[in-house]
Amino acid sequence: MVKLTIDEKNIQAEKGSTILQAAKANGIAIPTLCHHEGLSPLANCRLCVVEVTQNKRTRVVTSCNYQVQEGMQVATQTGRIVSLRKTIIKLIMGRSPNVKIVRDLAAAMGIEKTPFTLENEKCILCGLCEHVCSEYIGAHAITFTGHGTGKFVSAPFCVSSADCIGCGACVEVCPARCITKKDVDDAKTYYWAESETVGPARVMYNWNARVAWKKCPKCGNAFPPPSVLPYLDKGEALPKEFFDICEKCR
Amino acid sequence: MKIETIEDLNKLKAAGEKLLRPDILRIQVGASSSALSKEAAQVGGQLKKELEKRGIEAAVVSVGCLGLSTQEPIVEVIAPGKPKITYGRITAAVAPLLAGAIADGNVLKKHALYRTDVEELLCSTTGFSYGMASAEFTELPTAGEFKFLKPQVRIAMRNSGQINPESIEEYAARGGFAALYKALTKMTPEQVVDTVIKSELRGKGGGGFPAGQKWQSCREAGGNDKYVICNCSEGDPGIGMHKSLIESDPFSIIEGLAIGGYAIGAREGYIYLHHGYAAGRHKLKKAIDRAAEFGLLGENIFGSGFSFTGTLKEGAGAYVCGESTALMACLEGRAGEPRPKYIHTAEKGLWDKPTNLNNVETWCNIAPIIFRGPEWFTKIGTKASRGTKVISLTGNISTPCLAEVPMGTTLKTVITKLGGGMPKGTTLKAIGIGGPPAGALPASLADTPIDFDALWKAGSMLGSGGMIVMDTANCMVDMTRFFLKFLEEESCGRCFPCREGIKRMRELVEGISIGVGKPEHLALLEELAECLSQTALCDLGKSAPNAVRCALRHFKEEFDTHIEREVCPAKRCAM
Repeated sequence: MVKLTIDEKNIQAEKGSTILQAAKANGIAIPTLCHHEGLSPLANCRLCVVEVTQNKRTRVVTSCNYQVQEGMQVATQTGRIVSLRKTIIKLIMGRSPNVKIVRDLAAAMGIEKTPFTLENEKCILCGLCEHVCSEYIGAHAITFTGHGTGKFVSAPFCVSSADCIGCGACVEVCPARCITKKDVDDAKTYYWAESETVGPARVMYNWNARVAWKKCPKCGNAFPPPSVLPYLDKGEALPKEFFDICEKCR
Repeated sequence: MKIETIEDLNKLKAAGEKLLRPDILRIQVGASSSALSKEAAQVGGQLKKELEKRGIEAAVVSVGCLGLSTQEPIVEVIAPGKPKITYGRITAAVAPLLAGAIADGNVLKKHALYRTDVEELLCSTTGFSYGMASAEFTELPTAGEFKFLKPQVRIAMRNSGQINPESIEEYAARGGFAALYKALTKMTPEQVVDTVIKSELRGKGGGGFPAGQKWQSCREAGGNDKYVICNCSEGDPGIGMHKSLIESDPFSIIEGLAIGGYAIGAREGYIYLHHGYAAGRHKLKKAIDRAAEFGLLGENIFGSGFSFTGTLKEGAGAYVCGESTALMACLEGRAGEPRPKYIHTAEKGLWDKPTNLNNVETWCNIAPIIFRGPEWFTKIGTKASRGTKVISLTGNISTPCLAEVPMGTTLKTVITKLGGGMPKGTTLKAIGIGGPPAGALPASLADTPIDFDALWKAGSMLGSGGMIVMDTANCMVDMTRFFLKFLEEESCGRCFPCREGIKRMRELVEGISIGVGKPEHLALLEELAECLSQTALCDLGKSAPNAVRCALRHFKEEFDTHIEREVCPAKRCAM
């Protein structure tokens, strides 16, 4: 175990764990936006910044990916840290003022409005959907396209992703709730001058994917791609036959 | 022919010397990009023809970049037993006149710049002696007296403009691979690392991190798979120092990289170039192939047991790909985005293996440091910044050029002695050094020395050494807007503060420049600057605010005038 202090509280944390994990385990709240327990840290939103003092040197670091070390002193609510977080929230508000989680975070920090000209992006570009699809599910069906403020998440070349398995993990992890899926009995896929009917399917609107329902080998019924949510939250690995057997039979 | 012993190397050196100072006339024509744009390619052929007409045989060779672009095409004449004469502005029209002068044994006075009687070589114990000046030549200044060369100490540029960059023989003739031989056969890897530490060499890519320290961490990291990387992805707008080194002396990069590989324990080296840089790719590929042909890259170099291969890799060409972790992502085939550096790349870099990345100019300094020893290097430059810096001088200056000056040389010296001062009728207003994140320093600080710490204290930073001179026709609000626009376009977009923050800073400065700025916008700019400098993921985002902070520290009045009076004193902003 590693001994450190967080906000002057003596803490013991597992070696190899991050400051964020140690804080959470001890009831100390640090705001995050691009973090999910079941996935490795992205460190994209920078909201989780804290001050770390080691060897008489203080730096501002992101707590989601900074490992705990013996004797380190962490401060999560200094004037500087609060001020930095407020600026980041104001920046995100400028891009996505109508996304619920952004408004909630701003309200929690006492920020009513942002000084920047408003845009209206639904996606906050946190990267969690791409992350879960590649790291946890392993489908690698979606990715970021472009760079800078023009970035967006899409299927390869913005065409329908053939690798999407319709598990809906992206829907579950998206903090902005901007990814939609729908289970339909009768889906049609449109090509140049033709269309193809894909029986019962899950439609992933954002990725233009229509994933056919599977047939359960045990009961013979068609079933939609299962939800990965319970496994994701606990960070547990998915069982081998996860996508093959319907939920009832499992 | 494989070079395995010192005798082999000396034979290669002798072959090169025969090329550099043959029994017949040797004409060197500078073939840098600026020269080629002035039709230097035709000059060589033209001269050869003209000399043949007069019955004179000459070896005409394309060499690299001397750095004096306003005198291009530069032609150097090496006649046996006579001093080397360097001529400027030898266009195809002047070629017959020059041929005539050579035939008569005279100097074409109108175009002659300087002469070289003897030349010291950094990687050789013996220098070159061309010939002593007869009465005809003594009117010309020597290379050491010539005003463009006098303030310079050419370490990285030691061979630039002096050799055919594709000739391994000519490179060896000027001491090439002597340092590699010394390192591999007379020094242990730890001794090589120690030498670089003692030299106090700081990286030339912008970070200024002590190179020796990086080498040591990488050496100490465990494992058998390690990598060394040469960062050739020069990305700052408007400058071309590394471009010049790559095209003029690619073998020095390879030698430095091999020495680094030996010191750190890496068997593989990568040279990273921007995609689409054909001239650089061509020269580097040729140099790598040639070195491998001669056994100076590959298995068991100099019979030392050390094997090393160099591979050229091209990236997509983004400014952010010059950041070391983004560069490594590119090499791995991923998108060029930086990653958090809480674990240093010296421990976990390319494919999670210990990796040492240095800038191309840093690598070009390695061979002389190994050959001459670290004490020699520490005598050049300042206490905080040893050695030299290659400067690309551009902007509103009389003679834009490329030069290598000892650290500690003031900005003013570069402008007056190397740049020929401000063009007639213009007044110096600001000097940008270090690229977009470094902002620009006012004319009142022209006495600031080129030194990592001094420039940092002044509010700017050395960066990669691109110096842009601005006069009173430039508006600092407009310039700041330009710097921010560049950084905004180059931001990878991964982390929120940089992606959103630089855009908003640019919007605010743009607003000020078109007359809709408000006093509270300056406070908002500082709030954004603080946020980015503390929370951004990589140095692009962390240093971007410097463009604004430097401008507000030194040119606040100009910003205030735009805001309060809605006037642009330089008459540049559209109000």
